[in-house]
Amino acid sequence: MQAAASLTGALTACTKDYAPAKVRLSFAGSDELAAQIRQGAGGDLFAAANATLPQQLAAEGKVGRPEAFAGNELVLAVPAKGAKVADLDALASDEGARLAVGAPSVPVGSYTRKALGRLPEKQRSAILARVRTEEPDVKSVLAKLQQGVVDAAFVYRTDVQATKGAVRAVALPAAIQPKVSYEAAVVTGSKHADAARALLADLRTGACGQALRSAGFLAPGAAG
Amino acid sequence: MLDAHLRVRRGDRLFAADLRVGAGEIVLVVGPSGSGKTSVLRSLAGLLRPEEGTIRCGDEEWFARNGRVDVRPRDRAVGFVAQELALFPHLSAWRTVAFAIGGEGGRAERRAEALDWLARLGLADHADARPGELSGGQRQRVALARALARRSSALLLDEPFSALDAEAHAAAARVVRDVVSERRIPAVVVSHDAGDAVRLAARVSAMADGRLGAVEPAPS
Amino acid sequence: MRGRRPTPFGVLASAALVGVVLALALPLVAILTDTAPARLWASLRSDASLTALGLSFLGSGIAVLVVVVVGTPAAYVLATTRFPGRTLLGALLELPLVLPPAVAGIGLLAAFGPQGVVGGALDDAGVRLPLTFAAVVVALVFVAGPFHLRQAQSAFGALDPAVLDAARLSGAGEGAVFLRVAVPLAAPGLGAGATLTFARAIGEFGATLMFAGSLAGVTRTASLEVYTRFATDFPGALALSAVLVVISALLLLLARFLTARGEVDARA
Repeated sequence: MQAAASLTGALTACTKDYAPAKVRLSFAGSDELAAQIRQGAGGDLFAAANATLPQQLAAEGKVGRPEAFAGNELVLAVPAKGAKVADLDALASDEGARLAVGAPSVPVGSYTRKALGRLPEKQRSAILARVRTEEPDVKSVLAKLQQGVVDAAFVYRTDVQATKGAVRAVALPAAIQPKVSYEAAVVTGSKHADAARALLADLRTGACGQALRSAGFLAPGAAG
Repeated sequence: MLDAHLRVRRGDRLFAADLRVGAGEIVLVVGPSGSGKTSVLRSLAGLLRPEEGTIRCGDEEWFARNGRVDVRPRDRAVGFVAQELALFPHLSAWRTVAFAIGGEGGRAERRAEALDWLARLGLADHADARPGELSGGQRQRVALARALARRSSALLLDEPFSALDAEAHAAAARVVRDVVSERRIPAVVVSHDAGDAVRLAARVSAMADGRLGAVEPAPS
Repeated sequence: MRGRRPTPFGVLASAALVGVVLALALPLVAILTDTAPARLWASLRSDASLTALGLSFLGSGIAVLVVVVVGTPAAYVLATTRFPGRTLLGALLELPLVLPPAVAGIGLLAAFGPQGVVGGALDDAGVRLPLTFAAVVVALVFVAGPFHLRQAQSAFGALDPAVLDAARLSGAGEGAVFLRVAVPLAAPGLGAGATLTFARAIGEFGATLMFAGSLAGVTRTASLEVYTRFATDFPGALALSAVLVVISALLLLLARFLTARGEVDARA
């Protein structure tokens, strides 16, 4: 299975004891995984951190029909202690604030831009002016925050939960919250297509589904 | 006046030297190869550190009190020819000599002076040649020119004529003799050729059994 | 007279060489053949590519300058003097050569990050290094500098000590011995070292990303640009990769040429 970096914690735990088959995991940014699949270096199951990449690949015939298996929530993450900015307004008004976001080509980056796009023009451009780095995946966005290199970062709620209290999540206004849906699809030409389909079902409703839920992922379709 | 009493160790061999060379005097050190002549000469130049002893030149103490006084080779200001020559591979003959002439004066003056030294040693036609383009004898004379061009308080020459033919040998020895008497400085020349005593009008001191014997002051 | 038959070992070794060439050259050749010239040209003329290449060259150039100016005398001291711990120090300075880039990045953050040893003090002074162009240069110096240190040390180590002594006896101070004799004689080796450093700096990725981040026009060098485009613009990534392959190949050829010249000079 090729899975988005944000799924690392939950999937590593639940696939270790996955009975029906031995699962080998490869984590990276969803876009990078998609590029690998386009180049023919695909695995059997592609679990992305969004819906667009699996749907694009499906349109190209590289994967089968995508199914949603989890949802997530985009948040503004700040250090739990000594945070320099408290919310979006503070971020927009503090010219010295430093912000890390995902590159536009990765899901977390495109969700971030989608959310910011729903803000008033002035606030949006003020926040974009705080961007100091566009990272290639969500883990490195979070790492920049945890290193103290930036003051705030746009990541998923599950990533914040995984820091065990080091980082605090500031919820975005419901009006700008994008629908973060995780979809997975069986890679075309997979030699283990049946096993991959079974694993996809497990992601939705089985042990892996539960593991995802307890890691803070939302049920498929439940995202705001 | 160069005045040296020293012991120097090379591996498991110990060499001792007891040497006095007057101003304007040349001492020719002879002895079989491996007898320690080069080690003594390198000690005088400051390239080897004696185990004990004193070295004085004129009013200056170069080495004393078991090394608590130990003047760097550069500051001893000796004109030195090493047996292996150690020319600068990247410099032409005149630039090599000019290197030793040093900072004072402009570039043109240094060049003129360097060319003069090369001419005195019969190398006027090779001023622009690098060591790689010269014969063994020519290289040896460039090394000698470099040593003589240095404003020196003593000359220390290790086999400076060994690669020269008879004519060049005699001419080079004459230049060395002239420089020593012009500048009134002491000179120590290591040679395997006893004929150099005559060519240089030098006093001979033999190195045997690891000792360079007590040399009596030259009768003036 | 019978021709000599190749020995079994000779056949095996030649086969191994063919294997090595295929394994190493195939991906590189593929990059070049997959890139249509028109596509390459179009990609190169795009602002993003030019900006990234410009940042790579500028950052690598400054890094090489720093490495040469500071590293050359340091390598000279290491190569020509004996002191306790010299071997250990030499190994320590070469460590970045073999470290995973991620470790290099973490090390740089630990040192210069806001919570780092030096970074904390810098922060108090109002200087924040990470995520700036200066951070790119620092990362490149750290990761690529050892290439020059290593080459320079071996170039200085190969010099005849008698020649350096001859310079001292001719009246040169230690600075002049270094500048007028040691550096000119070691020049081919030093040039090779600087070239390798530049080539490594152009290709640097991991430590730069971790320490300097990735922002177009500020810290996104050509190798980071390739990575950024990998997913959305594979042909563009391929075209920029092709440029990097060609630049790197030219630099390595230059380094080889300089090293060979140094060996000829040393034998002269």
